[in-house]
Amino acid sequence: MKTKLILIFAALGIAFSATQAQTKLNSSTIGMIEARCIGSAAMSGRITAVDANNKEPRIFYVGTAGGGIWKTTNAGVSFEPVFDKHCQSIGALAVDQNHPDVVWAGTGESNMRNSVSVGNGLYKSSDAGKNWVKVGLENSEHISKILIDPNNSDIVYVAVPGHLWGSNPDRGLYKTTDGGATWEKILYISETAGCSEVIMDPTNSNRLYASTWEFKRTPYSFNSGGKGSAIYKSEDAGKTWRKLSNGLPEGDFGRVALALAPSEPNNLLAIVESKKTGLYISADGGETWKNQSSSNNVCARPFYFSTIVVDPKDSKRVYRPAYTFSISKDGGYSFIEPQYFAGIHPDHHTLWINPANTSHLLLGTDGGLYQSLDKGNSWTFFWNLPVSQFYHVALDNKSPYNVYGGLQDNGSWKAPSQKAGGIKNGDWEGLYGGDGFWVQPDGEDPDVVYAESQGGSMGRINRKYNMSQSIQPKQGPGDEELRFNWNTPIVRSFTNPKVLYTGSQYLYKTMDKGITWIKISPDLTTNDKTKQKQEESGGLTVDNSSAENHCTIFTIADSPLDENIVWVGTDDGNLQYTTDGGKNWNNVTANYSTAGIPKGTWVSSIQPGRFNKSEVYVTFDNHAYGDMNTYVAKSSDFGKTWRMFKCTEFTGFAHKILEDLKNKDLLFLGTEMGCFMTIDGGETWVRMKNNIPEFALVRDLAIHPETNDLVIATHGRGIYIMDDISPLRSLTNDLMNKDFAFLPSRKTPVTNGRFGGGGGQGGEFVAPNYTDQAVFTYYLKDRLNSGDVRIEIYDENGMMLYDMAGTKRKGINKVYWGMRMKPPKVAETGATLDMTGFVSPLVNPGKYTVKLKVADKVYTDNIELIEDPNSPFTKEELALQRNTSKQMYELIDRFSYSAQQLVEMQKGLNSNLGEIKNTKDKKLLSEYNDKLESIRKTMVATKLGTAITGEKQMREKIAELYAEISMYQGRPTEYQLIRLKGFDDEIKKKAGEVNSTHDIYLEKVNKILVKNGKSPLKLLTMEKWKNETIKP
Amino acid sequence: MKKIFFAILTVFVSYQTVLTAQTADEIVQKHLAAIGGVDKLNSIKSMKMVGSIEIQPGMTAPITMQVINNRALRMDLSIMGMTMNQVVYDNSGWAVVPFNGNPNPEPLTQDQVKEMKKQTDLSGDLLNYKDKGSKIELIGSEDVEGTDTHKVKITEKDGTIGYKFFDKTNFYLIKETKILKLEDKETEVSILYSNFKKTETGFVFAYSMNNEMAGGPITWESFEVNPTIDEAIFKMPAKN
Repeated sequence: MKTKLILIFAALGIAFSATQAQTKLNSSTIGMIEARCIGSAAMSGRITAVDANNKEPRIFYVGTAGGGIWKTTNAGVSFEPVFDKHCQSIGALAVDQNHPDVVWAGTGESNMRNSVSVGNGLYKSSDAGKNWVKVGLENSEHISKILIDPNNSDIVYVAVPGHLWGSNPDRGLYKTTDGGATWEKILYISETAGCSEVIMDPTNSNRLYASTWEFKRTPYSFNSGGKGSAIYKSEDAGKTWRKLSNGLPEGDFGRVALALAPSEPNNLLAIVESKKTGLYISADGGETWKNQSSSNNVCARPFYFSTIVVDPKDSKRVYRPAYTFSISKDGGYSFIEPQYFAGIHPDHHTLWINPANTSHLLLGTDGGLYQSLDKGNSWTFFWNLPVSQFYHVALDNKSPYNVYGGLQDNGSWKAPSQKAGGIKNGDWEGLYGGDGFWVQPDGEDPDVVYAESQGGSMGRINRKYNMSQSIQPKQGPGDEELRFNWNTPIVRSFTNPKVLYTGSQYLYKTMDKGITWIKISPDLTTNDKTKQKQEESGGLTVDNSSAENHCTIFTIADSPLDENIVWVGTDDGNLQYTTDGGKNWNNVTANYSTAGIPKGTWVSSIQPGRFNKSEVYVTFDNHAYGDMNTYVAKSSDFGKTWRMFKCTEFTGFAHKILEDLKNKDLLFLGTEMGCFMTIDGGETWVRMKNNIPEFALVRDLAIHPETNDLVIATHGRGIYIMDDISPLRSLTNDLMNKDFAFLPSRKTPVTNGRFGGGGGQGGEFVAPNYTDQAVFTYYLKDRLNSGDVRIEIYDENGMMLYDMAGTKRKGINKVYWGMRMKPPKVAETGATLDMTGFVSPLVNPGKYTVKLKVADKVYTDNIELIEDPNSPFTKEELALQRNTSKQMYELIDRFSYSAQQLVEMQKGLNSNLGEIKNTKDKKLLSEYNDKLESIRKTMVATKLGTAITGEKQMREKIAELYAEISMYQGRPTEYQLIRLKGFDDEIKKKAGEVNSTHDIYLEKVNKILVKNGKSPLKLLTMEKWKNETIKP
Repeated sequence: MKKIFFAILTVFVSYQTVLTAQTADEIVQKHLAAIGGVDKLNSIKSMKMVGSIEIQPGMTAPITMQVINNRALRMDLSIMGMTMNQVVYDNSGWAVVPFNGNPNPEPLTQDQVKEMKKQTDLSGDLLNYKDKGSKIELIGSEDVEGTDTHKVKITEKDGTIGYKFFDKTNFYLIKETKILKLEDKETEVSILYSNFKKTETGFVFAYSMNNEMAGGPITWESFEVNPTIDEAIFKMPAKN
């Protein structure tokens, strides 16, 4: 067989090549290098929209701030993401109750906080979320409500607040009468005011109410309120509108939350942000209004909490989900909070009430989704929505390493990258409160972590003693008042594990864990006083949460090649560096704009070159001025000249650029809408889609130096780990033009894998681990449509240990080998499967030859397996285990040979029995068979039955011992060794019994057979048994 | 064992034909032509396939499938000399799963029979799909293992939904996804097809298929078109 093969010995990376059109990197080249999400679902993320199939409320959809849409068909026992090919920020969802397979989704959340993302239009699914089509409103950026006419599914209203970060005409109330094919803007105020809410009288679909909203953000201010905010009513399905004002407050409005009581549709409620913010109600369809409660939770942050809902059956029961969850039983006159923060995350944005059973509520909060079955008095949490919103990620050097990160409104956390039984919610350890951003493990002490909350409140945490000390730098003599960004950088030095940096408008350095901060820069910002009025920010309602702090340091990065080179970027566009540890600073701000990047653009990340000191990569984020372009640039001369990277596939403003640790041409880019990579230093880029949402909000990226894992922090889908990206390092344009190439993977320790951990319960999120197996990685230029891929593994003596099917996709393929030999061949007898045929010993560490057969070609490579550096066993223990399991392997082979020899003889006897006429002769054949049968019954279990018979004969007992010894890498127990010796003796004895039976009968029986014109029976030879054991 | 059993349930006949289209129908015609043509496909009355399935990496088991068009299907799979089989015959079905000591046939559920019975349609679910009461719809393009495909949705008469993915260059079916309903729960099962070869009689079959629920790939060694099959093999044997 081997001689028939065309052997092509391909050294690593050198493989057969054919001349064809140039093959370029594309998304599918990344192939089987896939990411896995490790959560967390314990700190879930902001939920922005919920809608259900009301006839079957076990089917519902959950829209999130940055994690797409999730669907359950089992009332939340499990959720599937159903929007991973599209924009991940969801503003509104609507299920067409007349055709529940039709679902509408508006992208672009409308809770207009500083960190809100943007959308790219309205989508529709006609098959219950499996496929989605964009149906317009591409430039809306934010959609807050979708309303389907219950009498005509082709009529849909969509409230579009529109752009947050600038003026724009794509806002207002839109209507389609043809199921989304065409749209008409039916209520438009101005370029600065959009439509934030629309509701319909359920008894008269021509009667609509809408609220409009004037609002705007800049990087340093927010305004909610203006002439454009109002409440309108239409009696003709939106053709004409009338402003409602009788009884409403004087002066400008801000955001208005609007609702009506479905059981008494003339009863309207409105929370009107104004100089007299409060709840206003009308009993006459909005013609007149009167003021009701102005309690704290009713008036809380109107721009952020814009939800008020009336029980569908009880017009007096009103829910106000906001900072906390308030309930009114008197139509909004008074409210109570039955569960003030007890067991429920604050900050609520959406509430669904089951119309058939109004005790059943679903509530979306900043920290996930809750369900109540008692009208909001108590809640259970859904532990399986991994939509956490990370800002940054850091890794430590443990094995397995830990992942650290801070989350929007959900504190700072750490979790292991691998864990026996999978990474569960409980494996995430909380470190710090508030909004979390940067978290840094100390470079020396594994118990010490630095974390922060908004506005630069930072602490040094000792996990061992559960203590935290505040270490935020304070204003020094002669300093201006310190300005810390909402998301203040805390950065550990690449080169010196003792050094930690942070920044206000000044850069600080500590070498003693934050006890002493040394100011090593002047004010590095523009210090523009007009951009420092956060105390006045908010508009009608002051909202100074530090989110609008400006003229601050946002990014700090020291050179991996030189501790004295530090780069600093600010939120107001300054980019500066020092080469002498902070004594002198060089401002290169003026230079980057020559490459096409607008002046004053927020510097979102800096990557000083890992291979050349004078190189630097920078991402710029100008979205807060309404510019959503992807700006990423490189300088090779310390910022004097810049080259901007361009790619038509780029989407979203840029957050992070990362240079690979080993290949200078391999770069990764995270934006608000996707993760991208290049293998040619930025000439060409592709979107990474492998198990990552295609438009994921990628905030941060890191590569682990030992495992070569790419860790992706998303703002809405938690942490993704793309395990072992080393194959990507060897992808080059040359290589991709070959038909086939081996690609390197990391060296694999020989292990049994991880034992324990248990599985997850139904309803719990459990993240998978990366494989413990050895991985063969190879590249195929095209999917193999003709022929197969086989993999054969040989030891140094040329003996084949294993063979299996390979994969055949285009791009990178991966095949996994459990580092075991093939299980021993077993005899074909007995009442049950022989479990020894499923178990095999681990191979020893060392080099193995891999032959990859791709259709009619053969490629050869080596794979190296190493001793597990974390193994607790001595060399002697490992050796004893290896020898013992090998001994067992041979013992099973001998046993199975005897058994197979026996049953084949029985088969021969049985097939001849009917042919022999002479009674005496026939009896002899029967007797021989019976003797063998009685031996067989002691060798293997033979009882039949539907229940587990529990019968254990020699084979079943050997299988048990074999599995015990093979599945543990350490020294076998003394009793196992004694038992093995016992089996050895028993097998010899049994073989003797079988042989002496053959001795007594075989010759006589064969004489009879020959006499009757039959072929004599032959015993199965060891040679024949062996030859069939391993196929060439 | 459960896994293997499942695998067998969901092994679809691998030359299923198609429809679809640049306009859906155009794509169907091209696909049908590419795999042998309408006349040839209509001429299939019975079929026998012999091959092997990798039940876990490195461990293969022989598998045989015998089908009488719209009538009967029998699948046999052997592990360590023990053979399990699964049969549908007219409107009933049975299976023997001997691995735990039970050599007796047990009846299949009606859901299982229904699903297996569909696979006895040797013309495939795409040929004459209109006559069969199915609807097709072009969903768009999709990348399947790096190959650009036409994605076509098929809705069968009974409401079962499936998706077919046709290689845009040769119109072979390289992937299909079926949404199976077991009890009330929908389960999506995908199969990838590869190793396309033209037989002497002019059919193009996929000699390799990978069913994600089967635990490993299936490789067919032979496709015999219109063999004589003894119907006795489909009858449920007596219990021991």
